[in-house]
This record gives sequence, structure tokens and C-alpha cells, in this order.
Amino acid sequence: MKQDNLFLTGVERHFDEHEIIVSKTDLKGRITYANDVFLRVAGYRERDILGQPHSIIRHPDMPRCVFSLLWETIEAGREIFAYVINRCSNGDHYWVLANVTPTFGPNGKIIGYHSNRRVPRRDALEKVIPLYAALCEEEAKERNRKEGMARGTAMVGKLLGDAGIDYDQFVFTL
Amino acid sequence: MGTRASIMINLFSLSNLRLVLAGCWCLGFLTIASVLVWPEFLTLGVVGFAGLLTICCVSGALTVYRQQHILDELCDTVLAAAAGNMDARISNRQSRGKLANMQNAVNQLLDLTEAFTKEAAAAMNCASRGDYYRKIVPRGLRGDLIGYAEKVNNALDIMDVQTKTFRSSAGRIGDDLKFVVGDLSDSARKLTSNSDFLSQNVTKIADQSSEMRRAAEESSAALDGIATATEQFSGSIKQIGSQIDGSASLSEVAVERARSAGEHMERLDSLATSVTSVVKLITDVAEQTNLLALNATIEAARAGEAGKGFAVVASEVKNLANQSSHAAEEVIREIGQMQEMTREAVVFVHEISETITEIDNGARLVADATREQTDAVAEISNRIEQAVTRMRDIVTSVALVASGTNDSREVLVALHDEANGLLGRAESLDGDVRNFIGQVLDNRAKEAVS
Repeated sequence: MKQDNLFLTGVERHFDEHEIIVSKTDLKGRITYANDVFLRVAGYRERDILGQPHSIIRHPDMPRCVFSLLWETIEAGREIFAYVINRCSNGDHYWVLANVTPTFGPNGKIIGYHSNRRVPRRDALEKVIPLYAALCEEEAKERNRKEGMARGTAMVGKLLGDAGIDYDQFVFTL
Repeated sequence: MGTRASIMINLFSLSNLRLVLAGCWCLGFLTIASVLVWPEFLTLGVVGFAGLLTICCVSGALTVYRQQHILDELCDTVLAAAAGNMDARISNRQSRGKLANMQNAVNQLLDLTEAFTKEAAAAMNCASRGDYYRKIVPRGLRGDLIGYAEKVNNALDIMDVQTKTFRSSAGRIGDDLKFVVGDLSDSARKLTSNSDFLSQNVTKIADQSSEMRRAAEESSAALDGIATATEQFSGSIKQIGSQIDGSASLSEVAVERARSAGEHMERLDSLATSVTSVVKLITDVAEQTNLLALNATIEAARAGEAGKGFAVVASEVKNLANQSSHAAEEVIREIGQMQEMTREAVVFVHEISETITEIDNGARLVADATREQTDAVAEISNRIEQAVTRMRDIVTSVALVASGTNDSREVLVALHDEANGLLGRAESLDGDVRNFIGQVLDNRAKEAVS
């Protein structure tokens, strides 16, 4: 289900600084809850999006290695922050600073995932956009999607290694 | 289908029900008014009123049924949230209307509360690892929550500063402690090795001092022997001196006697000379006697026979004269020999006298030397006595040294044990300090591993 040929308008949507886009998924990433801000900004009706994979709003400018890191982190039970560009139902897009956390059941097992998305700072985006472009370019060097993702992951690893910080700290320095 | 469903839902929403009821109420009012104006339409009016009433009842019942379901879900979600379940949300929400607003408001309340709670938990979790960069992200929060988030974030900033200050102070103190502990360990190690070294040396000193004591005692005994021998030597030198003095006076007597013997010899020589002149006289007498005998013989010959007897006497006299002459010559020769021997004897006596004088001079020199020796021996004896006294002092001192070194050895053994104990404590302290610094500075590394 490669979506690189999705229709894009190039129009960026915005939401209020005092709003949070909230969504919840089950363990497989299927949407179980989307708040009204999500529905409004992404341009979906609730009944159209419930049960859909979260990748329904995936934007082609998003490097795969970031999602790989995201899933790796939350499946390990830890939270992650990530700048994410999402695609609206009509082809518009919007940037968020996503904070994804696992939701634990009463027995301590992960029962789902929970994403709170906030308006990102513009100056952070100015750093993120070229970085993601570089990562996408790196990933595109491989025809095989997995190998491309590995290249992107290696590039992120090298950048963090050179800076001498881990990913969490890196996100907060942006 | 979606559109139709929404219309259906809208038909049975509370606001729509209110519209329906208001419409029915107006129509009912109109019906009653119409019946009052035109009484002939009473039956129609009653039927219409009944119809309106039915519409009101049916739509009300349907709406209540529909709303009941929404209210139940709303109630369940709020109850779950009240029970602390932050994950609860209302799905399949109304698209419009007060209930929709309420559904959204409950979801929003839960979204905000859950976001704030998770943010606070994440920030605290990070802070518990000693990292304070993870703050509650205030964006997206509303109302009082923003203020609370700021309070938590300020507290985290303060904790960050305090932790950094604490870590740097602890690090400094730890470094200082490490140095001090290192120095302490080195000192203790040196102390141990030095006390070992000293202990060995003290053992050697103790051995040597007992050896010295023995040697000093032996020397002391030897000095005692020397002192005794010196006294004896001094006595014998004095004896030799007095004997030499005695022999000097004896040699004077001998010289005197030799001189007198020389004088006697010289007198003997002159006496021999006088005897020689006497003997010459005898020789002269014998020669003249011989001449007389010769003359007598001649005269006897002339006298012939008469003189024959006389000639015999004359010859006898001649023989006697010759014998005397011979005897005199013999005496002169003997005296000459005697004189010669006397002269030799005089020379010998002179030589003896000179020799005795030389001996006497030698004896005087010996006597002088002996006197000097006596003085020297007395000095030696004196010195030896002092040496004996000193040696006794040395023996006493060495005994003191020996007992002192024994005490020192005991002290050194105790010191060695103390130093070893100190080293152990220093090493344990070193471990503690390293642990402490490790715990203070490497919290993050440890957390990362766990």
C-alpha cells in the first residue's frame, strides 16, 4: 500500500496553539479514537476514520525511519516525541509535534497507543523540514523499502552520534 | 447512507424534539382556537388534536429512546473517568447539538487530563533518572493546567540547577576525596613498607647491639687484662731501671778498678825495667867474672902444676859466670816478654775501661729511656683505666640500646599493624568514594542500562 503517489495540494493547515490533536489506536495501529480537533484538521468524519490504520494520514514527505524509530520506541513501552507531517483527506497537509505513548492495561501490558499532537514551533520546523528531506532522499537511494529505511536509520544514528546526544534530547533541542 | 442516518439522528435529537413539540403545541392551540370560532368543526378539531398528541408522544418516545443510548455511553465514560480510567473516551459522537458538545467536552476534558498526567509522569520519570530536559509541554494545554504545568516545569528547572550544583560539588568533593584517599593509601603503603624496613633494621640493630655488647664486654675484660699487664710491665721496667742504676755504679767501680789495675801494670813495667838494669849488672858481673876466670886460667897455666887446681876452680867460676850470664839473658828475655805483656795488659785495661765507660753511657741512656718508658707506661695505664671506665659505660649504653630497640620493635610491629589497618580502611574508603561518585555522576548511564 505504497502511498507515494497520493494527491497533494501543497496547502498547509493549521490548528490553534491551545488545541491538541488526540488519537488512540489499538496494538495494530488501527484508530480507536480521534478527537474533534483531529477530525477537523485532517478533514475526516469520525465514522470514516474509526478502525482505519493510522497510516491513513501518512504524508509521503515523512521518512520511514522516523516511524520505524517511533514504533520501536513505543512497543518498548517508552514515550517518543516526533515532528510529523500528516496528510489531510483532501491532500492538504499539517505539521505536528507528536508525543506518542503506550497505554497500559491494568495488568501492565500495552493495550494500545495514544498520540497527543501539538502545534510545532516554526523555528524547529525549519530544521526538521530539510532534515526529513535529506532522510527521504537517503531512503530513496534503495529500491527496497526496508534497505532504504535502514539507510535512513543509519543516517539518524550518525547525526546523533556526531552530536553526542540521544534522540530524546535531540528532539528537545530543536 | 451516512446522510440519511444523520437526518434520522437529527430527527430524534433533543433540539429537534423541542421544535416538533413547539410545532405541535402551536397546531394544538390553533386547533382549539379554530374549534372555538367554528364549533361545527369540533370533531375534526378533536381528531386533529389527537393526531398532534400522538405525533408528540411518538417523537418524544423515540427521541428519549435515542438520547437514552447516548446518555448511557456518556454516563459510562464519565463514570470510568471518575474511577480514574483516563483512557475512556466517547466514540460515535453526535455531529451537532448539545449532546455532541457535551460528548466533545467530556472527551476534551479527558484528553487534557490524560495529556497533562502523562506529560507530568514522563517529566518526573526523566527527572528521576537525573535528566531535566523533559518538561511538560505547555502547548495545547488550557486554563489552570497551563499554570500547573508551569509550576511543575519551574520546579524541574530548580531541581536541574540544584542537581547540577550538587553533582559538581559532589564531583569536586569526590575528586578531592579520591586524591586524599589516594594519598592516604600511598602513605599507609609507604608507612607499612617503611615500618617493615625499620623493623628489619631494628632487628639488625638489636642483633648488632647484643654483638656489640658482647664485644664491649670482651674488650672490657681484655682492657682489664691489659691494665694488669701494664702494671706488671711498669713494675718490671722500674726494676730494670733500678738494676741499670745499680749496674751504672758497678761500672764506675769497674772503671776505677781498671784504672788502678793500669797503674799497677805501669808500676810493674817500671819495676821490670829496674829488674832489667839489675840483671844487666848481673850480666856485667858475670862477664867480668868470666874475664877473671880467663885471667885465672892463664895465670894457672903459667903456674904450671901448682896452678892446676886453681885452673879447675877458674873453669868452674867461668862455668858459673857463663851460667849466670845465661840466666841473666834468660831473665832479661823473660822480663822483656813480661814487659811486653804488661804493656799489652795496660792497653787491654784501657780498652776495658773505655768499654765499661761506653757500657756505662749505654746504661745511662737505657736508664733515661727506661724512665721515659716508665712515664709512658704510667700514661698508658692511666689511659687504659679511662678506657676501661668508658668501656663499662659503653656496655651499659649498649644494654640500654638493646632494650630500647626491643621496645622500638614492638612499637614498629604495632605501627605496621596500624598502617595495614589504615590501608584497608583507605581502600574501603576509596571504594566507597568511587561508588559514591559513580552513583552521583553515572546515574544516567546506570538508568540507561536498566
